[in-house]
Amino acid sequence: MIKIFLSLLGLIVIAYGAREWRNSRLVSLLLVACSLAAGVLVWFPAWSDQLAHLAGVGRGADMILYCYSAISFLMILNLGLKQRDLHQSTTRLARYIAISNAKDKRTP
Amino acid sequence: MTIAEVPVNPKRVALVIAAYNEGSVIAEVVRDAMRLFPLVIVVDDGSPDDTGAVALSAGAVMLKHPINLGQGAALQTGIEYALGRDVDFVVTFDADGQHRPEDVQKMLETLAHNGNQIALGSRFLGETVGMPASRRLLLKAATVFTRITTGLRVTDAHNGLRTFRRDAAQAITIRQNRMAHASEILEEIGRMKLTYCEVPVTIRYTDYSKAKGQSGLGAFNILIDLLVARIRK
Repeated sequence: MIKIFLSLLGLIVIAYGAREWRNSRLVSLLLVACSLAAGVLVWFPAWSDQLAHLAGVGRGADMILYCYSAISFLMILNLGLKQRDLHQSTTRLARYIAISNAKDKRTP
Repeated sequence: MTIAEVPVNPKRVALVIAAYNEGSVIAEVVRDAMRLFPLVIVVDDGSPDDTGAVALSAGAVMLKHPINLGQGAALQTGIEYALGRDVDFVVTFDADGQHRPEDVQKMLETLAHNGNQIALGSRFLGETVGMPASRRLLLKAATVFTRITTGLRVTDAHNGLRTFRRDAAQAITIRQNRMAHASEILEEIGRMKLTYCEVPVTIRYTDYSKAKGQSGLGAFNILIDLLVARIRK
């Protein structure tokens, strides 16, 4: 049951990552890759143990936790990028106001 | 050389000054610039003090951001406004009295002679008055970084004194609101293969300008801003 639940969550993150392609290709690719990797590790725990040994992590379950951490960091980075977009919109609005209200003593 | 001998009509030159809390010095800077260039555009970047009103009284065209956005944003606002006027050249000029209008004349003469689109001021080809050693080191490091990232053979990466021919000013859009705009402008020059030259200029450091200048932390912020802009696409 938990595998299905985690896979559904992973699919949501993949869909979100795909949607972000237009905004940041790097973030989008990493989100999809990490979610796919986490999904594979959930369904094939034996692989996760082998991978964990290769990576020097210890337990396979920890690998899934690391994938979750990576996804969380990417989400935070993406939020930062979105905030930057919002700031640029604010800048355009402030610029429009400033230019529309330019003051020049030499012209009436 | 007097202004009459300059092959560029000074009435067709716009000086853009981004100013934040510069009420105590902006009038002097505007009057000094207007000796040689009648069109001085001051963009008050949401200052809580009377910067905008003082600049307007001194004779500048004044634009005011409703909120503080940063020097890069203010310069882009001023440049967009200037391009709406009948000008051939747009100059970015600092608000703290570090720059000399005579150097702008020199840059315009250089552009008129060599036909380049952009003249960048260089304090390291010219002179500095009262520059602290720490500032020199920071600027040299920034220049090395910029030469590596942009491929431009510049000697002074963060000099606010720049002269753009109209077509170059139209081509470049500053998207970095804060101090990273200096590196962004150079990146854009390299990316669009705009023609440029460096002109020796004199930068005068005063206690006032030193207090308002960039710190090591500012340089770190610039690096982060440039990195985030690269992740964006």
